[in-house]
Amino acid sequence: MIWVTEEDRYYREIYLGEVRDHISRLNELFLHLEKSPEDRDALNEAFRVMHTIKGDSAMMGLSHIAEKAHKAEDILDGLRGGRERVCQEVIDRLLSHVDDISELVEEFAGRASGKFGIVNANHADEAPAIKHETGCQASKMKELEDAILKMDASISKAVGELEIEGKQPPLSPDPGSCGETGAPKGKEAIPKGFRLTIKTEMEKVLRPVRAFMLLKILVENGELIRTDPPNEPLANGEFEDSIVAEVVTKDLGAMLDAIKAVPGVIDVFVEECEPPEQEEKISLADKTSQIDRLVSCVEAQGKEVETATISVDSTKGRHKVEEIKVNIASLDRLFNLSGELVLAKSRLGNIVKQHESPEMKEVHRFIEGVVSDLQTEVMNLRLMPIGQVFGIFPRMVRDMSKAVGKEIDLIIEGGDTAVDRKILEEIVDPVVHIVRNCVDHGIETPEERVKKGKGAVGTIRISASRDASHFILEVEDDGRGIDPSAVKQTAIAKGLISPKKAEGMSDEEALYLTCVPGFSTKKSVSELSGRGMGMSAVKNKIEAFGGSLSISSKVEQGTKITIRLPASMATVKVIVVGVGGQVYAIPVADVLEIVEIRKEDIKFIQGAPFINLRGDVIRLYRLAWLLGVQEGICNSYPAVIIRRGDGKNYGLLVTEVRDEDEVAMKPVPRILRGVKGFLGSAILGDGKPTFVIDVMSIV
Amino acid sequence: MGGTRTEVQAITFQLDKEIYGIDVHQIKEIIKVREYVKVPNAPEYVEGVINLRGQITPIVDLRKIFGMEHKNFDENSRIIMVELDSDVVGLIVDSVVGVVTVPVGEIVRSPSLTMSASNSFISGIIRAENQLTILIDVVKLLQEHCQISQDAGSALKSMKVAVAGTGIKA
Repeated sequence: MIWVTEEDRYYREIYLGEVRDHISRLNELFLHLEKSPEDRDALNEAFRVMHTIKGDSAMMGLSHIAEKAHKAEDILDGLRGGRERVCQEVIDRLLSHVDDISELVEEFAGRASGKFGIVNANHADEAPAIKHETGCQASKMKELEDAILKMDASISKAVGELEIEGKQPPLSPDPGSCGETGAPKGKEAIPKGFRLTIKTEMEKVLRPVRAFMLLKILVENGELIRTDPPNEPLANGEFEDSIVAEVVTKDLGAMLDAIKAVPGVIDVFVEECEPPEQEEKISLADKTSQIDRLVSCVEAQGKEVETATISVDSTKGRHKVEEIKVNIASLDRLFNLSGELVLAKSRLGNIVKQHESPEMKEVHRFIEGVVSDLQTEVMNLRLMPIGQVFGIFPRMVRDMSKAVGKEIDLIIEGGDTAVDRKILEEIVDPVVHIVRNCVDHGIETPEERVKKGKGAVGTIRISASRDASHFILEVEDDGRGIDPSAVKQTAIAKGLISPKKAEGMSDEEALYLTCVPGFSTKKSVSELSGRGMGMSAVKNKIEAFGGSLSISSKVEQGTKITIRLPASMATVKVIVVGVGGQVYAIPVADVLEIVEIRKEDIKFIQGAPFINLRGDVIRLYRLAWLLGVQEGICNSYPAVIIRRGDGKNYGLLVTEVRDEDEVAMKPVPRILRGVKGFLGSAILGDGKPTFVIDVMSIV
Repeated sequence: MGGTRTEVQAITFQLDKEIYGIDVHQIKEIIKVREYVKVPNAPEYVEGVINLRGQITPIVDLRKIFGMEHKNFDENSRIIMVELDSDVVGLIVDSVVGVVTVPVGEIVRSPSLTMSASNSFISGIIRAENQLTILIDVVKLLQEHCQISQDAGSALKSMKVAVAGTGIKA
């Protein structure tokens, strides 16, 4: 195998990053040349880029890729020399070469990263990212670093105070314990000795298997000096929670990666590190030491970011030294760590409440401020212009429209709108499907369009924009539109709704029938959309991320689909409420106020409960009923008054209002995606899982 | 590892009167049943969620999926954590029996058992220590019985498919 050492992997990453950029540039150039065949500059650039791919691939020993590039380069050379003319057919040939190269490159990427047999699906390096590097402002990094330094100082101070209070001394900061950062990233391949402490959490019956896997890795990636417990008992599974191994290896990184991929391995400590206590005890010293470790990790990440290469972006000619390239995986770790820091901070807050120390409170307030600044900075670093995803659409629309014999102009607006990277990744599939629908179902054939008195060429417009808290994406076409009565007919024919129900349905409501599973208006399963994910899946996916989808359409004028998603994935402030023995979180942003409501103040209008709140009549719902859980009857309830954009505020009656908390909201686990009424899941300050209520969809 | 495997190692567990096995490669870890949080309006087979080192992890009652009668959890009950793309899902079983290693050739793939659509998650039958063990593919099981969509792969993967799909074939 070629890819063994850290150094090789380093070059592989560089190669892949660059060649992927080249491929997307070539796609752009060829599409441009198709429209303006006379553009010599574009032709020359395409030749140069193709030549670079050839050279780089040859240097990496990937002769099959270099050969493909060489063939394409020949075509381009012929065009430059005037031996051939730029025409549709040539562009098709060139694009198909680019596709081949792209396929070979991805195959290489897959093969190279699959080198270590135990492939962990969670492995950050292997998760394909939209783009391998993202730009971020150097000034932002500076602020981030300052914030970390400040926090570090204040935490040390807090820890010092705690020691004075006579609590158990906090554990010393343990830089080795944050996984990745413990590994020296040396590029030289000199074998070195390491003492690895592998911390595990394994069921007894699994131990022999896991130990065998570990021993295999240790032997294959270096020289195994000794283990504690010794090899044989180890292989029989006779060990407790940690294994110590002394090894000599050239490539610690690869060894660590492989070890960490073994299920049940929680962490690996390199060199002389003592395994830290991982008990879930909420002791003050424990928390502070946890924060300490997180801070040192965040700090390490910050440094890594700082030492990253300065990019010289020659193609755009702007933001020259203001931007540095940062590895996405490192950014993700930074994000996760800062999220954990926020959680640890909330937990620390719980403990501070129990101690009547004004000084401690003061320090805690300070940490709170700094952590929140840090969080904001990290969130901003994750923003990426959506144009990086939109780049795939010109080519896609071109190829698809050709396949179905249509002529389509694609207009893209708002490509520089910045969105969280994660949202960007999630939105690609749905948008691809919607655009496919436009091409396949929306836009008519040129003849049909001319007959209707429209221009022969159809238009699809994709536009992105942002408001304060949402990211908005619209896909619009000027095609035949969706006919509500045809939709109703189809839905009835497929048994999705009863004819009676259809009758009472407004035209607008009817449009949403297209999002019901099992619905498809086209008579035959077409080659394009037939393979798509379906509008119901699109809607589900967007809703899983706390977003919404709306459809508007006019017959013979076109269709517009609007997607709204939360603009960032940051932590959210929530109000924790208790209902039927469990707790749920309601985003503070949705809450107008909290009032105590007595039973006798509740009025019933046509059987529905209302309350008069300073002149406003507000509809009440019992959260327990909405969730389908049991709740005792009381004489009065706290009501969380929910603010709704459309002015239809309402009140949620709960058993108790507990506290305010700040949580890192995560998507609902996939197996529970069908459950209505939740925005996401989160872990509360006390470590218990909870669900964040979606006040818009629950009533 | 990698390449064609000549043996399969499986964790075996008991559920009602039967012994089942899951390939060790599909298992992340096994834990004791601990306190969990119930999920309102969730499908019946989802018992709740737990906090597994910072990750909110759903736990599923395998007895319910298999349509067996309910049994209260006891000190033998275990949760087998399996990885499903980027998610982890816990399966509650009556007890964990042990580990078996069987040559691939000894796995019986009986068509009558595995061909039926509702049983396609059964990947074979093995005889270990004089007992029949039903090997199940948990990923298939969860995908088919718990309506978990298969589009779990990262968006980029599908983006590439989408771009490639519009290429020569179209």
